[in-house]
Amino acid sequence: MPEESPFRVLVVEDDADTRANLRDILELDAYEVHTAGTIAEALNRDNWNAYSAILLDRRLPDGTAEELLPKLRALAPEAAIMIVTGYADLQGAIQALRQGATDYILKPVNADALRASLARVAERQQLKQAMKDAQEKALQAERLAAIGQMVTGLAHESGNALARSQACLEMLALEVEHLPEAKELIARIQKAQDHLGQLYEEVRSYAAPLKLERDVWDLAGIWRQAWSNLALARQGRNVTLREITDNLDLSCSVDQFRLEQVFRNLMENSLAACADPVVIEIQCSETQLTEQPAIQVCVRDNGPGLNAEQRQRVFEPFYTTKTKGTGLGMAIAARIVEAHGGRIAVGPGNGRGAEIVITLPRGL
Amino acid sequence: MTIPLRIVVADDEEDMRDYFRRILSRLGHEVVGAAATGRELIELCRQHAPDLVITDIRMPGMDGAAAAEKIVRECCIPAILVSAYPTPSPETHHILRYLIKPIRQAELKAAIDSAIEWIEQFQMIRGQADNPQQASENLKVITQAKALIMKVTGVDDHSAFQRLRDLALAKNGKLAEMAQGVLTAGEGFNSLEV
Repeated sequence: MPEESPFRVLVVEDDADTRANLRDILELDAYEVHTAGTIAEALNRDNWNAYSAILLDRRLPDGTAEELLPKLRALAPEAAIMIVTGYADLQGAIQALRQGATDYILKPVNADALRASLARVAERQQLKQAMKDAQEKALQAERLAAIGQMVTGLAHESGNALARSQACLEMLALEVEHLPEAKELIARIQKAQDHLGQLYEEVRSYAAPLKLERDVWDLAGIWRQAWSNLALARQGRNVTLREITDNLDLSCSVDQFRLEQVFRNLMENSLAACADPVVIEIQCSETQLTEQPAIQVCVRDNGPGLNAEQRQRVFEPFYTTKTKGTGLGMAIAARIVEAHGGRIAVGPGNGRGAEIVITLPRGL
Repeated sequence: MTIPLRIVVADDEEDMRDYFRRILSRLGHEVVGAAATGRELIELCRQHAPDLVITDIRMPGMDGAAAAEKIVRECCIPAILVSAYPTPSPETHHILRYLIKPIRQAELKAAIDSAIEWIEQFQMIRGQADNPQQASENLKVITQAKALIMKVTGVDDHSAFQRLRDLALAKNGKLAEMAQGVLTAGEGFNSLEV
């Protein structure tokens, strides 16, 4: 039963005074009360899932609780059924308990006892729901983990096939060195294959567990390495890297390999989004993160910048506005930065292009 | 300058063995053996005494990495490992490089060039040592010194080795001694927190 809906009780009692009395008591706790005077009236509804508890008098004009009990258990398996009975009839009440009733209430009804019983019922049902929610979440997590494993396995197997394909493509290129059209087709296959390889690499990288190997590095060295690794991508383009560090000591305890990936992803995005001449600016400043010394690194470009939707979603996995690309680059970057205990966010940019702000604890 | 190398390759995929034979021959080298398992790789190396080993890491039975370890220790030759996953940096001083699948011809060529550089350097190191054991120990120290020089000055491997050579010439000493000196100096600076 969701927390928002009221706790509904069905009272099946033929004596009008008792009915009214029960209603009064129940409404003290703001329970929603529905009533029925006979078995027929009780059965004449179809909103059984709405009831959290059913108060059932043992003797009704058109039958006994025993007759009704199995039907009720079938119609409302989640509802707590409480038998209202006189002292003389205790045996019958115990019998009803054996048949599936949750509790019995003696007449004359003790208001506090009744309210306490129902409060216990309410609590039990809330716990049951909470457990159900937790189970569903666990199942979901299991499924995601299974998908993750499958994706990793798929990416690995595909890697083998891609490697063979690449090898054969290069050998084919040697065979047709004298055939310009064939060479052109091979170049196109190579491009498509590069893209496929990149897709698998990014997905595999995202799906794999992240284990950082930390050491003390100079951050500038790392982003310069990323810049250098993009030499091929920068070929034929007018791109400049500008550094504003004010001689700040940029030593930081980081995983050099992973952080290079972060800078590379950011730079690749800028290269893709900006038209020449591209200027990528990296500015560092001293800062604090959860009261520990940290370095803030702002990476800016002079491109079109990020629109409102992009600012919101840029770190979402598989979100991309590029015609090619998995949309995992920024998600991977975020994962790596956060694994370092750092933060990554879209900066204001001052209307002059995209800005990403990374804050890394020095960890020294 | 390309010295023709005698190379033994290993990969459980026929396509890859084929690829290595053709492309390496194209680059001016000779594939003297192509293995499909780690065990076979070791046998072929013992048989043909190659200058270089290129092997896939994962193969049935004994994997390429373990086989390569064994071979480089026994034969004092360099190895290039082919892996499916990006790996940060080679761990031993004989393992030159990890090539990540899918391999590109250009990457392969660059790796071979590194191997040639390594072989030239090792010839010099071996020449200055009294026995293979010492050569191996000296190699370890020199590799560490090169790494430190590269990290501190930002030069590449070839230049780092050149600096050690120049130092050795200037001081009329041996490469290994200079390398040890560089490492000691490095430790010294570290402890002074310079």
